[in-house]
Amino acid sequence: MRKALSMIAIMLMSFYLGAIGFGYHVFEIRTEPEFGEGIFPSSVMYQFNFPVPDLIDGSVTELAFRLDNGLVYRDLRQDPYTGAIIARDPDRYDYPRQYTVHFDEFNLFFSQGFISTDFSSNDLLTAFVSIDGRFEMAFERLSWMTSPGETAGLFWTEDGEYRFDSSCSWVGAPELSDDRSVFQTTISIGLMFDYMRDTLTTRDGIRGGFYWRFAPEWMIMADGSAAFAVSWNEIQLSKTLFSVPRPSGMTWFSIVLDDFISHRWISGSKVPVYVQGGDLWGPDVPNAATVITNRLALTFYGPQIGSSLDSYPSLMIFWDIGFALGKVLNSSLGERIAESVGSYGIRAEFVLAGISHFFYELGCSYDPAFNEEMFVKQRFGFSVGV
Amino acid sequence: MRRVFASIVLILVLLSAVYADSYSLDAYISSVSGGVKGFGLGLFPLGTTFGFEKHFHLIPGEKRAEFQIELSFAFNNASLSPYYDYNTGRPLWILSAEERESGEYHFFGDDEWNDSGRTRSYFNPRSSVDIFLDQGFWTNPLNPGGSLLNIRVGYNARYAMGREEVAYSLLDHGGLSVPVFVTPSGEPIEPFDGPLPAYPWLNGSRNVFTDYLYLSLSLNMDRDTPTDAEPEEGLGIDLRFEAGPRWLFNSIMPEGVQSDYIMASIYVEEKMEIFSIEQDNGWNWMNLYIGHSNTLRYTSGSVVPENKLPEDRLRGFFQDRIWLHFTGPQFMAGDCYTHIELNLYNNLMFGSVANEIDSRTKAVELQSSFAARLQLRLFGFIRFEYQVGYDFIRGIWPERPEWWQNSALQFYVSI
Repeated sequence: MRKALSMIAIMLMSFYLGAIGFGYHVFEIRTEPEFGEGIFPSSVMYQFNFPVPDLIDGSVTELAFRLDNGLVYRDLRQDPYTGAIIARDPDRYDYPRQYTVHFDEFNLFFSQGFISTDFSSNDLLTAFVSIDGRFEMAFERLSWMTSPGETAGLFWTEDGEYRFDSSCSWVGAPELSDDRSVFQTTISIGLMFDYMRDTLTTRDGIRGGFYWRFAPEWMIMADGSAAFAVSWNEIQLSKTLFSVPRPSGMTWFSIVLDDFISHRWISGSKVPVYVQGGDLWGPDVPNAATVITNRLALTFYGPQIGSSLDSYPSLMIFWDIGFALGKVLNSSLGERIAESVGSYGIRAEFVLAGISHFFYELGCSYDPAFNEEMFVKQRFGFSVGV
Repeated sequence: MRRVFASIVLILVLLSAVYADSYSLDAYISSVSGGVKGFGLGLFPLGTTFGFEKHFHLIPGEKRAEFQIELSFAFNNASLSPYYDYNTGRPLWILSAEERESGEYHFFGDDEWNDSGRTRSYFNPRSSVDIFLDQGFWTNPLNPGGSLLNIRVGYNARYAMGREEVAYSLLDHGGLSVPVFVTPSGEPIEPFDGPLPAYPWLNGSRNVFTDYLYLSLSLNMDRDTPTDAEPEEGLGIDLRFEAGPRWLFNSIMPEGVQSDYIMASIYVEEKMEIFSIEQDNGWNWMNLYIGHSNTLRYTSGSVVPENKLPEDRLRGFFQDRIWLHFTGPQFMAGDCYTHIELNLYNNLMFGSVANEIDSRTKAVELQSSFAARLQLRLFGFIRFEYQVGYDFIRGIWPERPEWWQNSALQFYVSI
C-alpha cells in the first residue's frame, strides 16, 4: 500500500510540471490541555495550492492538497459492547473515558468558483470534489502511567487488567477495535456560497455550504473500518448592529450579531468520530442520524490597534443549542432518540497579529445530554491560531 | 507555566509592535513511523514546522525588519542513550574495562536492563515556539536586495514528554508487559524513581519545559540564490549567543531545574563559483562551486537540556568542512534538478562533559570523514537523497563501521 500511495501521490502531483512554488494556507492550529498546558500546538491543518490557471475568467480555480495532522484528545461516548449512549447512564461507566488519537488526514481536492464578487476573495458559488484519506491511532491519554494515581485509563484498569474482554465488538467505537489503528479513504463533494462582507470586526451577509462525504466499506485502499455516508449543511448569518468606523476600513468599535446553524445527516454501520456532528461549547450532542446545532452570538469589538486589521479586543456572548434526532449510530440496540443540549457563556479575547489569542472563557452547560450533570467551566489562556 | 509563557509572548509580541499579515510555511514530511504498524505507512507526517512572518520598517532609513513566529510539533519515538551513567553523567567511553565491570556505573540498556526485556525506546511528543525579530543594516555587496549585517533577537520555548511507547498499551503487543518507566501499578522503575542528573529531561513525570533567549549577528557578503540549483559564491559570518539560565523559568516544573546553560558559536563560510553554464531559457545546464567553512562552538552550564547537548557531550566543538557542489541540469521545471556534493569533514570535540556532575572527565576527540551526497529534487516537494561516507578517524567510537550509507525519500515544502 505504501508503494501504491507513493505512486498515486507522485502521479497526481506530476501533472503540473511548471510548478515552481506552492501557494499555501494555514487554517487551524489546535492545542490540548494536557500537552504543554494547552499552549504549545498539537495539531495543524494546512493546504498547498498547486498553481493552476483559472478555468473561468475572474473566478477562482483551485487544485490543492490539504493536510491535517497531529494529536487530539477524545472521550468515549458510546458503550463499546452495545453502542448505548454513555450519557444516559454515566454512573455505569465510572472509569476514565478520555483517550489520545494520532491522526493524519489528507484531501486532494479540486474546486471551481462561479460569479465573482467585489467584496470577498471567494466567489459567490464554489463547487468542489476531493479524494480523502485518514490515518488514526488511538492510545491512552498522555498523563496515563505517570504516577500511582494515574494507572486507570480507558483501556486498562488501575489493577493492570485489560478493561474490555474478548466479547467486545467495539460497535460503539469502531475505530478502537483490533490495534486501534485505521486507514480510511473517502470521496467528498460540496457546494459553498459566500455573500458576506467581512472585515473581521464587521460582518454583513450570509455564507455556508452543502457537503457530502462517502466512505463505503469497499473504498480503495481503505481497511474497512468505516462505512458511512454523510451530508452536512452549514449556514452563517451575520449583521453588524453598530459600528464606529475609522479610516482605511477599520473600526473603533462595533457590535456584530452572528448565527451559525449546522445540520448533519449520517447513514452507515461504522461512523468514525471525526464525521459525527455536533460541535458546541460544553455538552456533547449524542451520535444520532440527524444532528442540528445552532450558535447565536453577539460580539463587541474594541478598536483595531494601530494600522493593523487583525489586532483587536473582543467580547462574545454566545448561546449554543443542539438536537440529536432519529436512529442512534454505531449501536446494536436499534434506539431512536430526540434529545436536546444547550449551553451559554462569554468569551473575552485579545487577538494579536491574527495568530496570538489571549482569552478568557466562562460558560454553563445548562442542558446536558440525558443524565449528565450541568456544569460551569472557565478557562484563561493563550493560544496560537488563525 | 501558562501565565509565564503568555506574559513572555505578550511582551515580545508587543515590543515588536508588528502584525503578521503574511504567512510563511515550512512543513517537513519525513518517514516518521514510530507507532504500531508504522503510523501513516511512514508516508504522512506526525511532525510539522510552520511559521508566520512579517516584514516592516522598524528603523527609519534602514532595511525592513522581519518578525517571525515559528511553531513546530512532532509525535514520534526517541531512544534512551546508553552511553552516560545516569547517576553521575560519566561517559561509558572514558571508563576502563575494570570500571565498566565494577558495578559502580549504570547505563540504560546494560545487561541488567536487557535481561528484564526492557527496550530503550519511548514515546516522545514535543512541541516548540520560536519568536524572533531580525533587523538588517547596510547593503550586501553581492545581493543589493539583502543586508550586509543582520541582528536577530529571539526567544525559544520547548515542551516535551517522555512516555511509554504507544504499543505498550496494546493488548496484542505485549500490553503492559515490558514498561520502560513505570510498573503497571504506576510506581517508577529504577532508575526513574530518583533524580537522573545526566538526563534532566527524564526526571519525575518526564514533562519538560525549557526556554532560552538568543542573539545572533550575521555578516552577509554572498549571492542571493533562491534555490540551491544556482551556484553560490561569497562570504558569510554568523555569531550566535544563547542563554537558557535557570531563572528564565527553567525551574518552574516540579521536576526541578531543566536548563541552565549558555552557548556561544561562530560560523565562517566562504564559497567560490568554479563554472556555470546556462540553458537558453536561463535554467542551469550545470554548475560547480567550492565551499569551505569553520564552526567554533562552546556550551557551558550545569544543566544542558536535551535539545542543546553538544556532540558526544563534549562542550567544545570545532569543525572544518570543505566541499565541492555540482548541480546538474534543470529539467521539465525550474525546481527539478540533481546535485552531487563531496564533503570532507574534520571535527574536533574538546573540553569537559556536559551534565557530568563533577566535571571530572576531560577529553579531546577528532573525527574525520568523507561524505558524498546525491540529491534528486522534483517539483519543489519531492527529494530523494542518497549518502555514502567513509569515517577514517572515528574519535571515541572505534567500534563503529568505517563505511556507511543511507537513503531517504522525503516530501517537503520549503517556502
